[in-house]
Amino acid sequence: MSLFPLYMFPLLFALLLVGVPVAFAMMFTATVFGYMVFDQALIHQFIEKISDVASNYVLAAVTLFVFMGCMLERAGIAKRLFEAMHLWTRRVPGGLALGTILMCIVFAASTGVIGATEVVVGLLAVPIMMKYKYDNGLMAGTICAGGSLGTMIPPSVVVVIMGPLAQVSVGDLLLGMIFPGLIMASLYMAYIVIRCIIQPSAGPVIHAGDEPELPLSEKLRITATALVPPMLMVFAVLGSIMLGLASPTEAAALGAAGAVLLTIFYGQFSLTVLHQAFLKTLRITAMIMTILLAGSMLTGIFIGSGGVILTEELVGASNLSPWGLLGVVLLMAFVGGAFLDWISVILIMIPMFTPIMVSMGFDPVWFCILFLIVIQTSYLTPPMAPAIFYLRGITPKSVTTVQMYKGVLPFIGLQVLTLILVMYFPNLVLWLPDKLLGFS
Amino acid sequence: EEPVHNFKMATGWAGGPLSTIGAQAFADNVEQISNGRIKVQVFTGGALGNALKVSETVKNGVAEMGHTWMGYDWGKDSTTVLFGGYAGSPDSERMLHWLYQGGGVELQREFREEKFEVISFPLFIRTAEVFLHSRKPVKTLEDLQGLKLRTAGAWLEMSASLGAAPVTTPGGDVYPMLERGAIDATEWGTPWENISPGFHKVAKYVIIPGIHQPVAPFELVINKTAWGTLSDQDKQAVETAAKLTTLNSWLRIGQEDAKAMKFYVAEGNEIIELDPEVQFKAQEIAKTWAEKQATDNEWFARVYKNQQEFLALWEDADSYRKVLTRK
Amino acid sequence: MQAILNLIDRIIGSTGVVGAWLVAPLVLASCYEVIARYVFNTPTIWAFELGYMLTGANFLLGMAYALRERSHIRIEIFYQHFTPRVRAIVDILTYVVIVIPICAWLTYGLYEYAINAFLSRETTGMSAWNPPIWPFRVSFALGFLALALQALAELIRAIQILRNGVEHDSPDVADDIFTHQAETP
Ligand code: NA
Ligand code: NA
Repeated sequence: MSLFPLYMFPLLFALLLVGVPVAFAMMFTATVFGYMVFDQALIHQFIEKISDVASNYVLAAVTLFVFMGCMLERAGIAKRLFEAMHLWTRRVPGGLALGTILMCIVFAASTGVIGATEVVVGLLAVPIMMKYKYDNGLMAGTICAGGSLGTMIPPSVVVVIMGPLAQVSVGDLLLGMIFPGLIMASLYMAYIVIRCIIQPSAGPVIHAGDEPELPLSEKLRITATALVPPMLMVFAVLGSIMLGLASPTEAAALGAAGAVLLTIFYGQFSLTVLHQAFLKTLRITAMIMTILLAGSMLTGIFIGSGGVILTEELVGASNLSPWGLLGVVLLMAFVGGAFLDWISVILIMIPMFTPIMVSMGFDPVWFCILFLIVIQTSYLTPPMAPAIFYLRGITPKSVTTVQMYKGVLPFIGLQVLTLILVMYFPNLVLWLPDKLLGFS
Repeated sequence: EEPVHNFKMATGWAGGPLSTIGAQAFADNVEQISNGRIKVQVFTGGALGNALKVSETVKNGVAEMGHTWMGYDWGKDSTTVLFGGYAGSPDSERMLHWLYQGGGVELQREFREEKFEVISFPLFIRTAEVFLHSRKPVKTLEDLQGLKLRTAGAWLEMSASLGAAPVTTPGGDVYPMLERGAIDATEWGTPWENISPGFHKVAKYVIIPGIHQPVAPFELVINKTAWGTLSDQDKQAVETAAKLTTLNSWLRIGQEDAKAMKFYVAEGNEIIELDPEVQFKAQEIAKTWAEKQATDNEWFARVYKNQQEFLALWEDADSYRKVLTRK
Repeated sequence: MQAILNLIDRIIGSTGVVGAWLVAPLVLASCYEVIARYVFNTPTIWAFELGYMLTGANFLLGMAYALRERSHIRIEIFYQHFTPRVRAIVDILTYVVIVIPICAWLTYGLYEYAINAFLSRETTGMSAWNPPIWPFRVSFALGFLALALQALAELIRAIQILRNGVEHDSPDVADDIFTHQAETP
């Protein structure tokens, strides 16, 4: 048994800790170990990976949703939207955080890409939560965990990639994830309220004295002008998918166009605004996609150097019971997700373990959803924590990365709680696809 | 005894029959036939290189072997379509005979080596695909007019000639688009392979037969340097294992397809057989396309001519090979 | 030296602007496809391929711009506590050992990849549109060439910091978003 594939992790880890940018650390690790495996052919492998990632139309949704967020933010719609939501939730402890999770659910239901949901909502929520002196950790946890609901609430790019790998119907997965996704979101909200009741300074209630209560008609007017148009746009994204107008990727383009129209509607549109939004979109998407590309290179080397065989041998040698093995597999996904991007974890583990799980009598759809929940944790677990990277990209330096890592911890706990619930009650996953799927 | 050759095999597959009874079955067969001298490790699609560019992955030596569909390379040379199958191809029975008895294997080997610098053998063969999983009934040419069908590759152009409105979309978007009606119909694989993606759950009609893809032979590609390291005996083992795997895949798919069609009926799907006029029209369009390719591509012309001669030889085969049976 | 830095900054600024504006045709093409398919029942043959090409070219051309704007993410647990000189050493090693050699190597490979596609008149083979693939591949090579160039500029800056021991306060991208937000009425 060769442990060679595992040796790349200490190198990667060391580079990351020293502060080498994530994408470059991954590329370097992939190059060093790749040369040992593929020798002269390595360059061809990297070129194919570049062409692979660059030719992925699904990724257009990332670019488009980021642009949508930048445009909304440039138009000043963000502020109006959150001020309006604030009118209704400010008397509740942690009201802004609750509003953020609600926004995340809405956005998650209109996008399948985690980075997109988080950036759109984060651009809206960060400045306002900071203005109202929310605890930095709670803010980071709320946005990271809420933003990653994008994969847990359909549509979801992750299950679309997972389904064929597991030989499971994507439709079953999209429906099966609805209850677990909503349970996870509810746990987030419950946690926020409880925490802010116990520790009011974490999510301050805005008292009547600070902001006098407006008459209901005034509240409704502000809400109508500020909240309704952007929500209509979000529903246009979701609606264009649900009504069969557009593919999920195209819906992102409709959302982007809608955001431009809204800035025009609000009288905020100019070529400069558009130009600035394009440039910021470029900074954010280039950062996300470069990591994705480097992760894809690194995964190729891990697999090519025998990482899959090694894992299978280790499992074979372990002699575990079905539940024991399930636990080990999910734990491996958890640890893997700390170091690799989600595509890598799924690409390596799903084809390898789904057949083993099925042979041990577990339902493959249920197994995939459990796996999906663990994938949720991978967005938040350091060192490879995309949700935190995205947040870093849109948050001022006064919020430290360490605060972010600490802030997401409780939410990782809630994800694990969701995992345990779904493990104990498989019908949370299996009931809905059984009832709902069909043609009419 | 330790294997003499440890080969990596790149594939384009995430799982499913292509993976299990194609690539992995070949790996098992070749290990057994070579008495363990050749050990092949199969990698999922995209793990080693680009899932759609396996021949490149193998030519460049990233993997010693690959399992792919030659038609993915049609952007480099349209001759690949003749080996991979298109609307003008015969059924799988004739295709197997052309490959193994009519000179197809030899042409394939020569073509791939000359134009793509890889060694190639047939490996795995698909029977006719499902023409469409459709939300609307489709039987006549009239029904096809303006039908938004999702497909890929050369059939896009040909189906447009049939009057359809073909749509290109990434694989992952197909299911939600079909479910919501952004597209009316999609093609994918054979009846058996289509159970897993679950299109039958969101589209009532199963339209047969797969006139766009009556057959799809897949291929084993081998790096030339790696091939050169094999003894004659081991080369023979590779060839034998590939042929055995191909024939086994054909047998297995035939049986599983039969079960799958019963499954769709049990699930409440309606099976619709396309009118002969549609089937003949598709073949005419394919013929026009192929003849155009043959005028400016020498290799295409050569392989096309060979296939046409074979088909002429077999033109009366149904009369002496097929016995009418009452249902 | 400063002239070289300014020149590189200007070049990468331009490639960034070109890359950034690719989002405009991406939005237009995708929306047009929806309208053409849903309203007129005549889906295009080109929107899909144009879509992935614009997405790919956008981020590849943006890699260098993102480096210039300090947008590539790093884990700052220790890095943020380093002195400017130590940070400069980490950066110098990153550029000299990692970014510049790997990008130069990939640029050369990608240049050949594009040239071969041009000479063999290779097309994408992804749809009925099936355009020549070389222009898209040129954007791969350009993306990594630009990244190498910007890394060179960053290297020079890091060496200056190492010599002077003073960090020029680089504009933090997030801060300008934040400032803008706070100022919006
Ligand atoms: Na979602
Ligand atoms: Na992680």
